[in-house]
Amino acid sequence: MTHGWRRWVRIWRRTPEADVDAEVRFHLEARVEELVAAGETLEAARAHAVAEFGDVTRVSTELVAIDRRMAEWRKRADWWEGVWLDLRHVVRGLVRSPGFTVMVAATLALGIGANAVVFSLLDRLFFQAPPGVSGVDGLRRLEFAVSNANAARESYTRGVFNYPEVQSVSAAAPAAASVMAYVNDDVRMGRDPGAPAVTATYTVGDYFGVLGVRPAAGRFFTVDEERPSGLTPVVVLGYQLWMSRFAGSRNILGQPLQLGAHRYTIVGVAPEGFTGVALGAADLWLPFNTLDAWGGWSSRKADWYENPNTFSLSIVARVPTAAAAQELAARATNALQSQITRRGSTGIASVTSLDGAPNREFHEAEFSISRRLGGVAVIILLIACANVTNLLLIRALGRRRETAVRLALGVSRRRLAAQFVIEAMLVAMVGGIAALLLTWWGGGLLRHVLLPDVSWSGAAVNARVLVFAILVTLLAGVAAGLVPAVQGSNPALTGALRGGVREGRVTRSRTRTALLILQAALSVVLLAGAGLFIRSLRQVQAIDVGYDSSRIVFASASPLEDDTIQTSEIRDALPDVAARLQHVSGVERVALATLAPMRGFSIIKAFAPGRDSALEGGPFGMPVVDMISPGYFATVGISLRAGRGFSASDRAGAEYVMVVNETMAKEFWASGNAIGSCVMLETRDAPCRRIVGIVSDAHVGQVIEAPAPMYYLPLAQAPEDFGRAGVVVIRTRPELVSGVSAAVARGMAGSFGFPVTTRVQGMSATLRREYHQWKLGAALFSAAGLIALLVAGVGIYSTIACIVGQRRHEIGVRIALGAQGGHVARVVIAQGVKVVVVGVVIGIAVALALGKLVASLLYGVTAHDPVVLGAVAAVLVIVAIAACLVPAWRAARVDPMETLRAE
Amino acid sequence: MTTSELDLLQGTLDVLVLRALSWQPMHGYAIARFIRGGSGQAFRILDGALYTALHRMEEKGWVESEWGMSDKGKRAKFYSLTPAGRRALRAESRTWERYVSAVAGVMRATPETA
Repeated sequence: MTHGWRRWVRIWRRTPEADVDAEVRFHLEARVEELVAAGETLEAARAHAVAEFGDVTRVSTELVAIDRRMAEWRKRADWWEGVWLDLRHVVRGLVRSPGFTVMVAATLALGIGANAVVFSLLDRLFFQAPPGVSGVDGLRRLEFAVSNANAARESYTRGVFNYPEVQSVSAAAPAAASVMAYVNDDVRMGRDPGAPAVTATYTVGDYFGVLGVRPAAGRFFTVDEERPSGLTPVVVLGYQLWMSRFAGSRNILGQPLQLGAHRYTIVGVAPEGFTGVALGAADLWLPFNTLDAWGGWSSRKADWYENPNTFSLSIVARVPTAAAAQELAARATNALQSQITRRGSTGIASVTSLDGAPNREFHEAEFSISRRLGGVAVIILLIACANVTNLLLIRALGRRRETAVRLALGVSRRRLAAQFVIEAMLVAMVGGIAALLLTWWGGGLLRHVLLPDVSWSGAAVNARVLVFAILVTLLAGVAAGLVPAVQGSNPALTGALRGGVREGRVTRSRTRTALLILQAALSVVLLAGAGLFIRSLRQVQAIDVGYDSSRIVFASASPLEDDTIQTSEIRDALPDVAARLQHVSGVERVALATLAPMRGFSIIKAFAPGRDSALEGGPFGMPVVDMISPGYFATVGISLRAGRGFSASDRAGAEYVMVVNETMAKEFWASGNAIGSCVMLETRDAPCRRIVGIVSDAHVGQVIEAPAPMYYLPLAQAPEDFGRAGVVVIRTRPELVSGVSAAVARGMAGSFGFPVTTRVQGMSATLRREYHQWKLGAALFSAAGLIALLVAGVGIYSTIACIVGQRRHEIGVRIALGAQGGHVARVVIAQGVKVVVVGVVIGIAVALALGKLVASLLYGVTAHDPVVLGAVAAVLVIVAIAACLVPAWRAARVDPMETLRAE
Repeated sequence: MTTSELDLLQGTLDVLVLRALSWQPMHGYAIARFIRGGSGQAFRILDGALYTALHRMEEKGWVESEWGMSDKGKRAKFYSLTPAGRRALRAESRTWERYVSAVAGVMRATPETA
């Protein structure tokens, strides 16, 4: 008996109750018959048979229970067998059409991969706890929201504190909470200026204790070593540094380690995997009292750490309960409040979990881009799903004869639908596996392109990313399989059998058109984003910062060891060094300044006659100042607008003079009145400095900044405490920058009587860093846009190709009736373009609506920039035409004889 | 039934049923008759227990059932052995024979004199 036959039989059977009843009744009847034949009376025989059987009701109940279990189990087995059969059927189908399978899987791989890559990025940035820390749930990071009732723009939230604030928070913390703080800074691994820099975390309080970290070797810092007033040069190595530098040897404990100018003693090693709790991975840990950047070591001032102007310590606390966390926040609010009341602001402290990256304000643009990439990834997935749905629909259509036959044979519609879902799931899984491979290297790439200085512990694909990818894969499979399942199993398809036409009825699917429109529209959104970012980058790069930045090289020197006497000697020697650099080949001009252009600024209060208060205005609150040598303007490319620049005769003892920029002249003096006016510096009754010239504006700090009023003083006439050059500015030809930089560095190194660290850098290189965020946005959105365009192009191509295939017969008839091949091709192309145009219109509407989401990341271009939107529309139409070309060519070449013969 | 009646050991019924089915597919009543006849009416088996055993073995996959016609032209449920059932019969028979010979050995033995 075949398996299939038995399945039919089972349908005939009645309920298990009836079955058991019939079986038992047959037994009893047969027995009674036999006993009667043997001579018993009917009544006696019945009683006899029942007695032999036992408790009929009880046994029947038991039999029914067994049968029911069996039926249940069989049903499940049949279901699984059905799935297995469907799976085999689907796999065979997919193997038979490898082109289709690869296309669908690749499309889904792009969609799923884009999401997994971005998830792995966002997961680390926003959701993942730092590795190696125990009991993360009990840790809180302190934030302080400062607001000023008078000036709304002064409201901000900071996660960094100065040392007095850390002290007061620690003192005010509830007994159950323990508080520590830290700050990251770079240190050189050795005395040599070329030694590689590593990241050090300077610790305040019981840093390791609060984080619940145990040393892998040696010990951590003692209470004495952490005392800010002390000076205990000890170092805890990171595990990785220990392994790479010291091969994991325990003998290094107690050994000295030279970090920059200072000598430390190695006391311990942090455990494997622990890299601190800052965004950047720490390579080693040092006590706060050795923090050079704050003058902790070199200045030797007793109260250096009380400096209230340096906000860079992050505060982390361990709290046993949520209530304790709230109490900590409340007490910290009080403690911090008392420190800021002087400035008329109010502040509220709050605690946040340790998950995610701290100090996001340092990477604002990159974080904004990361978040938006999430949206971009979802859009790519949508496009991919729409495309795959379309391809599966086309396939379902191609199989409708087979489907009709199977429906007619009694295969249930649900099972047919299941087959389509299984098919979608299967290709989604293949795509998902490909996506993971994509994530493996794509994720690593994105991490390092976007945020190179973040500590990226672990591979881009971890357990969470894996789970996420699996979920997205399942989702994509269901999403892509649902519509084909419903439409492909539609009994209306049986019309295909009755239709008689060779290819079956020609159906124009509204669903497919809608999906094409969706793809086109979403592609427009992504491409519009890419276009806006590219335009922004162009605009930013087109900003004239006011200098010939491609021609300028800065050079400065500092002593190897922090030594005030040597620093002074370098400054004294700088004019001679500059004069000598004049003769380096390729150098056109050399000048001196206290500060290099766009590398910091000074403010000296300036007073004009007739005004009581100092001059105020511009982005920095007051006019900024630089002190320069006579050739400076010509060297950096600032041009004279009126009056004169400085000359050698503007020396000490001569008349005090100054030059202002155009913005300053406009802001403080009526037109043309600036030259000849007096300005007093520092105090109102200081000697008059006469304005002798007006020069063009130049940027002070950043590429993007409002024009700032600025004035220049001759170095020779600078006020005390300001008067010495700090940097040599060299003008050369753009193509010679790197050669001149190297020559200048060599020339400078030997110019002093002692070894120095030199810094020589082209101005373009410093500006390049400012363009980074814009380039990043443009690059990432362009990549997303191209993926979208590719997927949409494939979608258009496959749909049009399929429609042409279906209408071969009709086209053949038309050509037989005299239609020209060219005309047929045009009709086909017009069909594709029409759909895309609708998509473009919808896409532009969506892009306009979404514009405000990216507005904050744009510069010099609005979200509804007509040039960008127009270009995007044109690109999409061109892609649509290109995608239709091959199907159109095929349509034009349909042989009418062949089609007619096939009839 | 005047002969002394034996209570059947648990599990032994299964072997007897499998043995009955090893000749040909049978309905429950025929199996009951076969066991009764083969044992010379020595066993007192409740027919209900026989059916329970049959259904349990069907669940285990040792036998399978189908409806057919009895000799007298009535609808009856016929059971037949599956390959798994055949294997089970071989295994159970061996166990049974070992058991019987062990019991028989003990019964024949006389205590050794010290």
